[in-house]
Amino acid sequence: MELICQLHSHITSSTSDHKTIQLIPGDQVEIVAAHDNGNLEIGLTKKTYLALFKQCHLYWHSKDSRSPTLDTYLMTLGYMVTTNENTTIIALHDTVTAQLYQEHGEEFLLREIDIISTYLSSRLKKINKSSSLWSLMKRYTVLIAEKYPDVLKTVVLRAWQSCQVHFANYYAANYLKWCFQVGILHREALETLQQLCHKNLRDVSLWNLQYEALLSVGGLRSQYSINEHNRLAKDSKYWSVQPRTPILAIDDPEWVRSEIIRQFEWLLQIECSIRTPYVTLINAEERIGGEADGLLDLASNKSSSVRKEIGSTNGSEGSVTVKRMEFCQVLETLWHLEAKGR
Amino acid sequence: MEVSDQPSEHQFLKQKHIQYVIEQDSHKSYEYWLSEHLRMNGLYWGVTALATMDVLEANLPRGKVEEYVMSCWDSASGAFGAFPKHDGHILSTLSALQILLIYDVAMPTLDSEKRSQLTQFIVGLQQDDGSFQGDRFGEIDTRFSYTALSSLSILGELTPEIADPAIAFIMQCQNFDGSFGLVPGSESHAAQVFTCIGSLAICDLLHLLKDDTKLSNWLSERQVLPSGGFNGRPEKLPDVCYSWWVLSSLAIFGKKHWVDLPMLEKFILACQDGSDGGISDRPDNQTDIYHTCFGIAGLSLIDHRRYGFKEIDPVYCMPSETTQHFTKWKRVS
Repeated sequence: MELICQLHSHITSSTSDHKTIQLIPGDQVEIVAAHDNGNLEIGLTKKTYLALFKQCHLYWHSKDSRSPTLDTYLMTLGYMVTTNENTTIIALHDTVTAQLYQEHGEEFLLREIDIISTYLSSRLKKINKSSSLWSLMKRYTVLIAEKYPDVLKTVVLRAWQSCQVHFANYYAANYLKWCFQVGILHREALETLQQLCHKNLRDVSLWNLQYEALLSVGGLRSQYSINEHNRLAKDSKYWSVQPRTPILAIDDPEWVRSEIIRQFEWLLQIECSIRTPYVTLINAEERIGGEADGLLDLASNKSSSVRKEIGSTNGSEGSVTVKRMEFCQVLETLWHLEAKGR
Repeated sequence: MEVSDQPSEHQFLKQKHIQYVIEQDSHKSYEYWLSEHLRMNGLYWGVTALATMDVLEANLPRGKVEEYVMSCWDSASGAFGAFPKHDGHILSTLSALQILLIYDVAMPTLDSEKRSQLTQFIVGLQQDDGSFQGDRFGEIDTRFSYTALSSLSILGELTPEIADPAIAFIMQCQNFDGSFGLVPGSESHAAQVFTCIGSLAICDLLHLLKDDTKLSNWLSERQVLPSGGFNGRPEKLPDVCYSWWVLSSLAIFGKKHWVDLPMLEKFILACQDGSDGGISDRPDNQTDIYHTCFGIAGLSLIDHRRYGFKEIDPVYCMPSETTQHFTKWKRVS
């Protein structure tokens, strides 16, 4: 299993926050690694990727492939970077990692977290959205949240990277949402999220994440997510973790409301013609017990003023006008649907 | 025979698809081994595609298929894995049960001891909050709720003690847009809608959705213009598999007519590979058995008679002819 050993070595010997695995063109069988602006770039040709899989596959089909050894651990890592949702391998990896931790200690587990978070932020589209890998990362997050804040910071950076390399990454966004919901991520992370949302108006996962993040940062923690956190803490195979307490009411509704309005006004200002961002903000407003009428009035006023401006240009059919008309239609549909729905 | 009276410019390439499905096992490339962990699901997709086209027995004889399914029995867990030597998992277990059932509703290869072990395995996956994990690893997802409930229903082992908390959990997964996510508070997704609505239907509790209008609107909005295909979430590209996940959910509500069916049909037919058969996610992409199955299942939901298909059951994703033979769970009010 020479190739997975090489990949393991490249990942764990670098201290970079960002480590990006990707497929590269070419015919040779080798793993190329280089630092670029402080980021580690790891390239594998398709041939290398398949050869790595083959080496691990041969080991898996050998006699002792479930014994708790480093070789078995490496084999599972090889499978996890080449196949997604391989439930037998993931369960075996989970068991073997816990057994090897007893032997090798916390450093071993921290290297494991480095590797899994690198996989999750790779450009391998089936790996960076793997539900079971993100589920594994939740378990590790419970462990490191208090004890290793620097490691947590890197893991979260990589989760944001995953959201950027994979459009509408359902499971990456779901992981980050859970981090907000249990109180691991706070106001500064919301600012990072809002910047990403602004760059990705069509990304429904990011906007939906903002909906939950606004509520969580405002104090409304999810009972379900807290329960899940505490279950994972209780079942920890590593060290003991304190349970978290749910907060089931918004402690600062005015702050949340002002953020919702700020985001809504920004969308109107840039004349966003995609409906999803507006809908998530309107629903966030309703969730904190507010009326969406204020937001809908803002939308209606903006639509009227843009239509007037378009009218004063004598019905020009230029692309700018067409785009502005689309914007007005989105606002009017929004007003119609939301007002009708209540 | 190619179906000729289509409303669109594309014909349904039945013979090519049959050939495509039966040749799946002969392409032992890297991709074949890379997908070893999906083999039981893959076999179910192939069997369902052929059964829906009403050509199963002639093209995929029962003996070898049943032999493969039973070779995936994991005695340690008391369930089916995806491939020999793999651990039992709820996803491969449901696929195995569906395959055995499609061939013979009596499932004679499953003796009473195995049935009992299967029931024990599935019930053991249920958590205190009613949710289900997929296996011993412990991931929770409404996908696993559906597969567990469907499996228990097939085995005739569903009870109110299992169903009631399972559905209470599912109802917590409904979002502000009327749609459902994988756990409470997670993003709405069309495939999760199917698993949640399917679960409600299996447990005869659809009435818990007091008003399905908001959800049906959300599902209808999944139709993307101008292609006519469905996406799984807003702003995403259309994909043939959602022809099943979305349309089956609407069919359960009796609202298939809320979408433009001829446009959807045209989209599915445009995703066929004209040379080698099979259906892809979008036109001109690489075909695979998953999209082939759900494309054909979607066409059956649209108009099974015109295609000479068997009618498909929108709750169980098997021919209705098969599902009518096992007892559906009915609540006594």
